Amino acid sequence: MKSTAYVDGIPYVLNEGETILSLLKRNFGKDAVPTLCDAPNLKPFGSCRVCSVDVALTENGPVKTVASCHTPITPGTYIYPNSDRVQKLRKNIVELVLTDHPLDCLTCEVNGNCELQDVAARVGIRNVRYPAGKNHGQVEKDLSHPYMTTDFSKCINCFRCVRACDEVQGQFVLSMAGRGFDAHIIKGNDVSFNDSDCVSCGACSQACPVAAISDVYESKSTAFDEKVRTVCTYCGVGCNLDVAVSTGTIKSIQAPYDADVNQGHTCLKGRFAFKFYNHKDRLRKPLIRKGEEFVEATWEEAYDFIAEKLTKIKSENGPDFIAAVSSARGTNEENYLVQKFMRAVIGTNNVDSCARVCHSPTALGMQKTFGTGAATNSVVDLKYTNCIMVIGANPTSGHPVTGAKLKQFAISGKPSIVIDPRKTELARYATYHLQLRPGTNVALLNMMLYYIISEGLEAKDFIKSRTEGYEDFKQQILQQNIDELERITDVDRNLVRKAAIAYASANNAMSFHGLGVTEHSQGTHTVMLIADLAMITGNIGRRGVGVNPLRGQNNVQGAADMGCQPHQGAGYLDVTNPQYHSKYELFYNAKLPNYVGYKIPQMYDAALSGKLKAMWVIGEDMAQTDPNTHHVVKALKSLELFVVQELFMTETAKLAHVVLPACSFLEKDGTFTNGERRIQRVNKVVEPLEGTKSDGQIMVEIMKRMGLLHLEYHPSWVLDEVAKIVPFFEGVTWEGLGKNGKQWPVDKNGKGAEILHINEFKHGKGKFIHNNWKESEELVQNGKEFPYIITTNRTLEHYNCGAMTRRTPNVDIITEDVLLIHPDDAAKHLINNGDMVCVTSARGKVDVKAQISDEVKQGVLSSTFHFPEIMLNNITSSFSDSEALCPEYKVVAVNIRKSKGQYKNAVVG
Amino acid sequence: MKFSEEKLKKVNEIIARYPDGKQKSALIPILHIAQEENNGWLDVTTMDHVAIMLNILPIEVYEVATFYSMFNLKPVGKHVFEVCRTGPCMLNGSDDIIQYIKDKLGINEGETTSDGLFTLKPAECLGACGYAPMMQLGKHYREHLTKEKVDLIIDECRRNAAKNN
Amino acid sequence: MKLLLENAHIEGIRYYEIYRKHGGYRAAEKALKMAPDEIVEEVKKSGLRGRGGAGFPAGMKWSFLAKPEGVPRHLVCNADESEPGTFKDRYLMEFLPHLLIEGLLISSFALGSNLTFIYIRGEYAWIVDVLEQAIAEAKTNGWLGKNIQGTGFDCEIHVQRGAGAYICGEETALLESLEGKRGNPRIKPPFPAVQGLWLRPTVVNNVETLAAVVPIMNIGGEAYSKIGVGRSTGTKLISACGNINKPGVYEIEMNLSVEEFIYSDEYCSGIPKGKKLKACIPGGSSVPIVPANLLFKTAKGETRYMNYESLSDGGFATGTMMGSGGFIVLDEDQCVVRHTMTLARFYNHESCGQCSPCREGTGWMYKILKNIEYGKGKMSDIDLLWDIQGKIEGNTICPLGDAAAWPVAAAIRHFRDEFEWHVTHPEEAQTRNYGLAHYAEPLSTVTV
Repeated sequence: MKSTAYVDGIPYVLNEGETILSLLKRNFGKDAVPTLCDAPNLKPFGSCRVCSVDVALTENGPVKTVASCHTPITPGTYIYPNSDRVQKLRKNIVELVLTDHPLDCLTCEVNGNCELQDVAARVGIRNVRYPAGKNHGQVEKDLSHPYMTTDFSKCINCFRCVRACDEVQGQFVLSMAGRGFDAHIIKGNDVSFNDSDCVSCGACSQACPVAAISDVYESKSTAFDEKVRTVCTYCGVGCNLDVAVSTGTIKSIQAPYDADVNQGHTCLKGRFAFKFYNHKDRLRKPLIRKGEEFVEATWEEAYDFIAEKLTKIKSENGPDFIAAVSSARGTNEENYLVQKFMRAVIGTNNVDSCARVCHSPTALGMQKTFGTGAATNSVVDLKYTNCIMVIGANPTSGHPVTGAKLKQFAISGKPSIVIDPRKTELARYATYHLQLRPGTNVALLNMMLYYIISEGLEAKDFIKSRTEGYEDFKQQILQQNIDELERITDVDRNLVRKAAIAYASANNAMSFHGLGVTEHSQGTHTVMLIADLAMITGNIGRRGVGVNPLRGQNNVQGAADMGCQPHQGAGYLDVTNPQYHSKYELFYNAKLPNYVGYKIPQMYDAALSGKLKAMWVIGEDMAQTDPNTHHVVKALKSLELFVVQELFMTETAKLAHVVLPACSFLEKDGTFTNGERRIQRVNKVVEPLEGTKSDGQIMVEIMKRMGLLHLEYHPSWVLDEVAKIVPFFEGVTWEGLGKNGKQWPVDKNGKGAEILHINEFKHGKGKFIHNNWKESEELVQNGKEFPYIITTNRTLEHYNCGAMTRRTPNVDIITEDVLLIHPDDAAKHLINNGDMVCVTSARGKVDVKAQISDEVKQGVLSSTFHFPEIMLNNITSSFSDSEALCPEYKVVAVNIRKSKGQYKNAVVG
Repeated sequence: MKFSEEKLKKVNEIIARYPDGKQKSALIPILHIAQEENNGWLDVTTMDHVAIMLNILPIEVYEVATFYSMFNLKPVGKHVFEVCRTGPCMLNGSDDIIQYIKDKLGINEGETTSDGLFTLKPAECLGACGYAPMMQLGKHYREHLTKEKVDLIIDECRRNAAKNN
Repeated sequence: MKLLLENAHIEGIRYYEIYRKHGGYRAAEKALKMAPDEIVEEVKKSGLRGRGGAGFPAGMKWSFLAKPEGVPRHLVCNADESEPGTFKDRYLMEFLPHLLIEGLLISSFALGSNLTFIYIRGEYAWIVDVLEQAIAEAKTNGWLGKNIQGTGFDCEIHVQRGAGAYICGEETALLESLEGKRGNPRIKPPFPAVQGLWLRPTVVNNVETLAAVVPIMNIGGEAYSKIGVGRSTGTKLISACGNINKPGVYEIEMNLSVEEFIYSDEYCSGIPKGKKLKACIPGGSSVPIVPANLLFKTAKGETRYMNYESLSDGGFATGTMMGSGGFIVLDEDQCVVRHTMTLARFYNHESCGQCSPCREGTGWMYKILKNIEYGKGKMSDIDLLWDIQGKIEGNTICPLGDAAAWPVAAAIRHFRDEFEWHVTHPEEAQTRNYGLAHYAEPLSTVTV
């Protein structure tokens, strides 16, 4: 029987272990009791005492005042939330708080959205009885940071910012210094926001109930016309954003607390990096190349030009001389239309997307082992897991909101394993950091598997009932030469053994991986071994387990789901399978090829050998971001028709024949699918910039131009069409997605799934597949001449080619790409911090500024490619994953020297 | 900022008292040592150094150092007079003693004499109420203070300073 | 009868050999032969109450200690003696360090703590040396360290210095401080007995409480419980200070009358210069001040004794509390407003700043008291003070709020006329005192 407590004499059923405040909020709404230090995403703290209520053990018995936020309810308690005594108490406390708070509400930034103002009004303060006294009114504002601002004269010492920084983001930048009345918030060693280690996530600002911490966009101000909820366009976490709009322009962004994905948190990209959307550099007219110049054109002229060229190439050379690269930044509907255009209108399977250069090995590897190339579980499962393993991912930079959750897990002291060549932020908190040599994931995972088997930690029942191929697999693992693997990986075998035992012996263990797994010549092999690890330990099919790729771009999951890949159509159905082929032909009412098309790297090769004459690229800056720049640029330049759909004149757009001005996520409707398969609605916040069109509209219009008629573009009808052909979208409807979206597979009743493979795998039994480690061809061929390994990475502040983030104040935080170099290596080459370093590879060379760091081991370097000034991909190779053709960004053989020009200057100076 | 060999030994001894992973517990004892090693006060460099010793964030040191009244975050004189002025000491004339020291040294509460010898730091109850009025001077208490006794203490400090020079 | 300070006068008692010669570690010998639970039982039987101020039965506190499998437990000795008027623990540690260590050893054994800390206020720097010297001696003689006296029980005791923060006498703030953090009290539950030091089950006891375990083991819980009166069993250390002839630490049986304590030659020996008694704060600065006419006799006219029950007779209206036994006496020339102001300044200085009623309220109480004391007060300020203290009391995370509120409340309750006089006589208030309250007791009946 459920126990009860009485509120003003009336019984209410208790949830186990709940606090008085939670009971009151549950039954009387979120404003049941006024509070100041309480926040939806923070632990109870009990410092403001405004939430105090009277409690008694018997009806009308003697009462005691307690803070409702942290006091658990004893069953049978009598609660009087608004007794006269309590009301007077609240009034007095708030009055005390107001004695040290400026009463300048009318001119305050948060006027109308201030919790102190609300609470003061609610408790009925009419005057402050205290004489003038010492206060903190003279504390100066801190406006040093590109985004964050403080005005601590308004601080009410509720600690919410400190707790948000600690409990939500885990950055520990803010704290309380001093004692008593002198207690005050500090950033770092009492420095400015700009000089602190703040990562600008904005959690403190959002948590602050007053205007003591805010941001340059005044996101807590009520000066806006409306707030539109949409989904972030940066990484695969898929944060929901509340975007404030005033007279058609975007004012600011906050993170909704009721978002399942991000629960009121987001990162500086989501929260602050939106100013690119109306940047002066935005393309606003279609451009057609005339010789070396671009000439502005009308949409009609551009469509005519393209349609004519495509028709000519199709008829003269055949449809397979045309290819398209869709964008994982675009919506599901747009991606669906791109592949439909290529398949049903052009008649080729030459359609790929940037999933190729990030998670194609994940899709392939997981399809082969589990049958489904997507995350098996959800991020919320972190609440239920006992051990995490993060391989080849730097989530605190790449996937900041999930990263913060992983970091909180590691900080809590629960077993956490990080496998990464770099000492990432997460690695610093992890129980085990296996800092392997780049390119040896397979060797390391084989070591872990070896120890799991040799220690007898396999989940025998699971293996027997749910998998196949284990005996062969086991034999191959037992044959591994541990001495050899220890040497190859450069990781102490005991450490590997301990990590393996931690993973295998946890009740629930969950793995996460990123591009440090996939962007290797053995990317697909690594993914399969991660899947093997999950199966051998039985970590599949329930809460808190599974294999969870951290998908790179906001909709990279969706782009593949929608069929923007050359071997599978919408819904991952094999285009060479006669049954599916005819299904697609029937559905599109068109003749379709039954053979696999080109993957992106194959497109370059085909272009160079004359087998590809036209390419249509949507929102991808391959000239800057694809490896081996010379090779890519040469291929693109050889095309007869190169169409680029873009927001900005990127390095790739500069090479195009036709540039079409597209619009950003803030200017369109549609859906994105995040890394945990959650299909979420993207809602138009502002009208498209004049002259621009959404990718979906462009696709519909070009299809119409080339003979396939559609309705006026709207994502809802496209989504209906998708639901008819993609099996796992069966029950998806535009209206039915609601605020928080749904995780596929969505059955016909509209029910989604947080966990996959609960009772059986997609293809029945899970398949154990083994692979031995193999040295990367790059190192075999070039390792002698180029003895260092450079592994590429990302920063928190910038996104990929940086076309968007470089056009926001993020560029004031991180201004350039740098080269991370170990102190000993730097010393060996007489390189000082900040010196320019010439990095050479078999492909080319770049000059980049050195940053001496213990983040990398000796012999390993690391850098980013966010800035076109450096063009780091001049040196990366064309080697790629043996199966999925994902490029090997993570292992590049290079040599370094102090840059001559700089060196000369230094000597002269 | 560097600790002497002897103090470093003490620091390691203190850190070793706590179970694995709980080394942060050593923070306050080590800050005491750091303050002794740094002329009686804690500057940011010293605090950063302590953070590194304990493998904690600098802010974890700073927030703690500013909380406890025995840590000085600004330079202090060679001899710090911490004269108690709470209830029982007040009943026994601590106000007069404080006034006498102010007049004699020509400084106010919180100030340091220009020769850098003396700082007068007002103190709240130091747990010597039966021996009031009293002050803390370095590691020890000076109790049952009278004006004469204050004179003697000041002379003693001056003599010590002269000797050490 | 003296149980704790019996041997305090013996030359060299702070050293092991002498302490041992005078019966030291005999209680430990006895205890180590008992089962831990039997020791807890003895302490329960003794009726020993926490000597730090709250007076919670020690044996009961011990029995609340959670004992989850595989999780170490800790005993922490609270030597952060900081309540104005209190200096008994200092005396005990400085002169009888082995008594405390013996008590700690027995208690650690009873509770299963292999790692025990003495958290001592930072200002008692020289006592750290005394304690560490004694710990080293105890270790050399096999009373600490591994396999103590062949029992297989291991125990280390470390002395940890605080750094100047009254709040760290509150047990959860103490634990935070011991963990190397700011001394911000924790919200409860969970209580330290379940999640204490490093979130492990922990018992925190005052120095005197733990030292009292030694005589309890020596004479037995039953015999201990028969000393004193009612629920105030055993002996209590009283730190006497203020306007008395013989300030110092006294060990009393709790059936001694307050009047005798003040006027008898054995204890305070009366008030200097034959002055009259004005008021007394008998349990450390945070307990209510009582005017002389309510001190020797309760409101009902009964003799008031130095024990928990008798001192609190009449509640806050006419009584006070035993508290930590910090006994502060005010003579007829003392100004209650000024004295209360220094206490308010103390609590304002010591507020950690975590919860708003205390952070802001202690500041305002001090500011308003200062205004009144310096002749800048208004009549309405007295009501405002009353209002603030009422909103702090019982409404903060830790008892510091209460500790700050009670002295102000009691001062206004009993000496309102003196506050009003300050307001109506701003000039005089700064040069002379109000003098005796009209209800103060004339000279004592006990002969000086």
